[in-house]
Amino acid sequence: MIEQIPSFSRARTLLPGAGKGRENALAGTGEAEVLLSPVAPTELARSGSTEARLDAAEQRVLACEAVDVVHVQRTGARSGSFGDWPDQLDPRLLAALNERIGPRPYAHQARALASVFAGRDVVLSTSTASGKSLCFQVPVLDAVLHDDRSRALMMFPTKALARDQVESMRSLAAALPGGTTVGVATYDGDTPPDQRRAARARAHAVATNPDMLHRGVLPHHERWAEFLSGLRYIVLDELHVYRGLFGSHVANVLRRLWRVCAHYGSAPQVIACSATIGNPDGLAAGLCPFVPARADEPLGADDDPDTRARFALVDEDTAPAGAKTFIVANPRVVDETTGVRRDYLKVTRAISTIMMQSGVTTLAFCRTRKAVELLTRYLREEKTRTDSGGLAGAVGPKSKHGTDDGSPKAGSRPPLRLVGGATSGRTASTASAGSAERAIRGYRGGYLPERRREVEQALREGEAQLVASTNALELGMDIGGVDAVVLSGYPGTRAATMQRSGRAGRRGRPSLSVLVMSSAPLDQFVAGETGFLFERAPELARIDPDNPEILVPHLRCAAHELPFGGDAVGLPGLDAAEQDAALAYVAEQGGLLREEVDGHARYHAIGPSPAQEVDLRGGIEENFTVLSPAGDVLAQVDFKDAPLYLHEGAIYAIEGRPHEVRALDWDGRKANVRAVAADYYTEAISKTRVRVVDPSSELEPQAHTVGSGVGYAQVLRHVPGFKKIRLHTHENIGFGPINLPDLELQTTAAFWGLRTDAVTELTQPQARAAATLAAAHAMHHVAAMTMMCDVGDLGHAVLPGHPGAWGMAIGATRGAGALAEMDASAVPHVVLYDQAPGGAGLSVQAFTLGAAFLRRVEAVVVGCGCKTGCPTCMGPQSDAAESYGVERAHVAAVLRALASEPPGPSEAPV
Amino acid sequence: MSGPGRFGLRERLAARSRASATPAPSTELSSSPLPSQERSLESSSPAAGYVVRDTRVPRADGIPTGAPAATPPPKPIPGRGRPCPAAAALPGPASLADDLAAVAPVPRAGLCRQTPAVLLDLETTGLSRDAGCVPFLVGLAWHDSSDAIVVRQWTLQSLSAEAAMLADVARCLEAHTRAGAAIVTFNGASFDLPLLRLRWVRTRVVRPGAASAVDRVPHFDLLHPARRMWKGRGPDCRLVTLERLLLSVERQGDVPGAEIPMWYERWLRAPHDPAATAALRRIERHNRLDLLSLLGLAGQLGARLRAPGDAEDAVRAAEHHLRRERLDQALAVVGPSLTRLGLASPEASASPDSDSRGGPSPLARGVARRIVLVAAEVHRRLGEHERAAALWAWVCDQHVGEPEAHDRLAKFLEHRQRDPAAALAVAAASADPCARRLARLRRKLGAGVSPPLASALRGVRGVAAAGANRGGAAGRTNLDSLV
Repeated sequence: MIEQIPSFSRARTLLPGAGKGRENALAGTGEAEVLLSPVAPTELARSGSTEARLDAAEQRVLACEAVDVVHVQRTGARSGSFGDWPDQLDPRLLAALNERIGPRPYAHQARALASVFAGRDVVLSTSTASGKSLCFQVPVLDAVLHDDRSRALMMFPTKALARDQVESMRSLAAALPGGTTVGVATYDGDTPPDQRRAARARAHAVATNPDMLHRGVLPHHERWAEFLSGLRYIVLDELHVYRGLFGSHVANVLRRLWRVCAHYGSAPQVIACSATIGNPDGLAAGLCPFVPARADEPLGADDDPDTRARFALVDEDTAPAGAKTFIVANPRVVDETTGVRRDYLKVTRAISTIMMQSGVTTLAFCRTRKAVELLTRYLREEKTRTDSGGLAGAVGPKSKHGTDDGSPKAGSRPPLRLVGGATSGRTASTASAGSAERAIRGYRGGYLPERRREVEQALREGEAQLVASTNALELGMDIGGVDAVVLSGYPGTRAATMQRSGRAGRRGRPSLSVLVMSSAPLDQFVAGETGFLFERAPELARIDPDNPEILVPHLRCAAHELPFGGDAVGLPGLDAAEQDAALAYVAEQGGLLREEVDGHARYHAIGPSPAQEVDLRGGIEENFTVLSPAGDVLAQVDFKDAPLYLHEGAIYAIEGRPHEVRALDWDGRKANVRAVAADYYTEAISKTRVRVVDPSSELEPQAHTVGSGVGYAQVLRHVPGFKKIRLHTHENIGFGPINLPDLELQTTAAFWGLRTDAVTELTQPQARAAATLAAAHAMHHVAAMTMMCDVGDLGHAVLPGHPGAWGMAIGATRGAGALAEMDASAVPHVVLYDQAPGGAGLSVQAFTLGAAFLRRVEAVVVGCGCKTGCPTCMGPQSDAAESYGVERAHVAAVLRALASEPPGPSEAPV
Repeated sequence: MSGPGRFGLRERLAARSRASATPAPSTELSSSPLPSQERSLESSSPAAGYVVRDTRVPRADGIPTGAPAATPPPKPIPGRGRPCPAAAALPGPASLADDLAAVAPVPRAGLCRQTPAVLLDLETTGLSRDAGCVPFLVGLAWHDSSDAIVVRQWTLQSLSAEAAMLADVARCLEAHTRAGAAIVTFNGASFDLPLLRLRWVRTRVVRPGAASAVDRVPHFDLLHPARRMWKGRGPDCRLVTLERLLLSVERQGDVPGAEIPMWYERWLRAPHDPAATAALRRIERHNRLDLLSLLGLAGQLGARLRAPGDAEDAVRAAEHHLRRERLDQALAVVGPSLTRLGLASPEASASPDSDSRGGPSPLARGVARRIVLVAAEVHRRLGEHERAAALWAWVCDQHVGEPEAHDRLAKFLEHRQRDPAAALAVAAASADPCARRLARLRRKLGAGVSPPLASALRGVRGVAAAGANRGGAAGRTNLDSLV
């Protein structure tokens, strides 16, 4: 009845322990404080310097019973080195810099500025807070001081970053001597029309984001003609964000920008800033294929002549830095046979508590939004309890409502008071609850900008002691310094790990980072081989701008902006023959108008801009708005998450505070909520139906044929109901129905079928299905690693028969319905599909790797260190192992069988 | 750096093509020469990528002699109006110059008497004004020396020729505007002219930031004056509605504006498609009709702004002139109505009616109220406060409680006459009294008592008389006729 649906798994992955008997048993005793040795918190918090407090925190983490410390990495402190401001700087600017920054910049800043002033396109890749912004602010201001017609376009991945940077740049411009004005403006979806006109007409530097450039600027480039014809610099901040599918889109947006600039006669210089990644110059060159190669530049021994010669790379960080300690902690195994470990969220909570008690300012990075909410709430409760008298206020997980299971109506439940449940000192505990709310904050996407700014400010001013955040705080928002970072789960890449842990220890102070591993395959792999984390270079950020699924829509946008052919500027980075082929292809598909002029083809697009239909980040549906009873907007929820989080009766938390959804207006895209004191949270159940249409293998779509191939997938997600889960114990206390429209995803997919007789040791259909399910899980994760995309960019499902017919995805293991489906699964098929609407070529690429891909998956499964199969190798539905006797060997055998399955009759397409 | 290196873009596109579930559309684009139009009228060869067509419309009979062969000579169809504006409804050059001068002030040098204006209308591939909005048909119309109207239309036959065509349009416009012609459009201020400017910049006919052929030229956008004159008197204020209302034009076989982009794109893709070719002819005709109706509209607008047909016209015309601070014109258009109300000033009225109060007014009460209020506002702006006060007093008397009249009159009494008692009486009788004014007046009045409204209004009469006497020279008001 309850199904594990891998493709829309966000709701389920929030709490890996939920709904599973074995882990629930753990959860009942899994209160954070039992994991901690008793230390008087207040005493520690007040004593000593940052160093002393960090030392104390480190000692307590190392001694923590809940974890195995698998690695401690220590980096010594570094003093800074300095250079000089460039000679040719305008004296007014030099004066302002001397006043605002000081007489000497860091050496890496000086190097970057020298390269910019020498006319090079530059990419900087240094740590957070090393003053990267100055390296584009100075040239932009200097250019305007020399020539009032100079313009700069600055692109930031989010509106908030753009706004921050505009403020910072304005304050530097304000330090210029009187009479010199440099206009700096934002131009994004929030800019009112009159300010847009002013920005176009008068601003020297405009800060925007790729989406606005794509939809709001380029399709109206005539209005920007004066701005673009004077464009001197293109600034790309947070370059590392532009990778994967998003990066491939952004690369095409930049190609289009360059084309339009060339039309108006400008050839701007690029200044890019990136967090630490393996190939900042390569990524910059990929994103900006128009930046010319410098044949005259001497190449280093290991330089890639194709990329390094394009951008001057400045990656040596010369800002002073404090000593860093990085601890990798794996939650202890609690069941040796199954390899089940303690829930990593609970361990995160324990580690965060240590940090709080030790008095170090901490950022706790969670992988999901719901994890942020739960952590915020649990930590606040805990702080309230300890502040108001130790054990007296403990809200026992089983103390009060243990008998009230199964009530489906939220309203009928007695509200649980959050603060000081049984204490006598009610006033004191209320006060401490207030202080807990100020000291512990949540931060994630979906919060309103004002709330996010408030949290950022609370961090800067030291009021917030701990902020639980998603990756929303990973980017360069100015939050001042924090002492420690707790990473709840491996962030997925070394680069993101370094970026997040780099948030600790600003301004040369020492810092502490703790990485708590989850039971996900990737996490356990990293825990087993910490050299993977510390000895290898950060990942390469890859983009594939020529992926036809991405290139074709951008070609249409580009043709709409300016015609192709004749003497028109081409799309940079595509050679003429490739471009002609692509244009002819799009015209043939009806997307462009082709004309023959003097024997040469020209391509035009007319009518409304196609940019409105092309979304750079996937998904163009309007967000849902969360409204209070008074009609105030409380938060925003992505369209596809709304059925999971905003159905009637859902508990929607904001900074840990629960709100109950009273009514959902689907067409109006809004939900009315009211604050409640619920002692449970909700989790939507989702079911997925999948069909692969028009498989190129041209197999008959009959349930008993076996095959593999690629095609177009239709994925329907149905959300029939939700569960109520009690806080702390995570036990299931009720169900409710959900009656909302199904969400449909049209995408591309690959599929692999398992022949009935392929694995001789698996004779039972259920056992075959269960083993295939485990294999599919591993395939999904390994495909994400191989394709350098996010796990969430892909989805997987196992269908009971050939995917040409509609099939309910086989889910986890409970209920008569699931059993019947597994019974019926004569020839289970693994379907791997792209989550981006319309597809992004990822699953198809995985398929083209063929047997090599499946052998790689097998190696990961076989290489797992557990005895009989664990969440790492078998996926989260490890009940399968118990119910159907799935063993690692079976999963490996399934993978081998899939690998040996010849592709369908036709040649496997790309 | 990017992408699986094994496969070139072409192979990947081929794979995508194979995998594509949607068959390629069957329409094919032809590269053969575009079909010729009526050659007698064309002045560009198809090789140029655009066609220029001149159509002369002699004002004598109103029938476009150069109309396409498919169009039969227009005849009025009983009960259905005419297929195009009647010749008599199209103003000649001198008359057009006067009409435009009535709409808005013209430059000191005046408009060219032979060709006072170029009328302009675009047909485009969209309404968004983004980069894909191509003005594929530009229509200009002007008077030539033989009192005929020339309609010149540029039709884009090849999108690649847009720059050349728009450069040609710019030259033609400049030739006329340099000789002193204004530009006349319908909604051109927010659509046609900005779009032309953007396209000129895009096609590099005009440098970014430089002035174009439509800048620094007098421009009359008739949409807003037309709205002021006819809003609420018909279903809407679109040009086709106004031409039906004012010029009795019923278009036959016209292309609905919303379909124009679709038809043009279809024609571009399949120039030999008979349906598309016919549609393009109809679009060109649609554009000619728009231009002729625009000319007719200018005539109607000018006539009514100078000499309103009825009191409703008079109110609206006066409000239009008032907006532009053309107080003499405003006064002139309300004069006849004031006379009918018996409120005319002596020099404007020979036979003042001594008492219009009880008798049946020749004007509807609502219109009378508005006209007197507009007239009062004109006098106020002329500095003739007593005359204005007398008119407000008339409204307060006839329409007790009318907020604007009470408000204005109370202000006059309080600040100009320093008569808080009377001011309070007038202010308090308003249907929407201003609480702050009432409080202030009561404070000023102290223990004093405010008179009844009627006597306060009678007081205004006295004041106005005194003012008129002070002003000497017989005054401008005939006081006895006022209240």
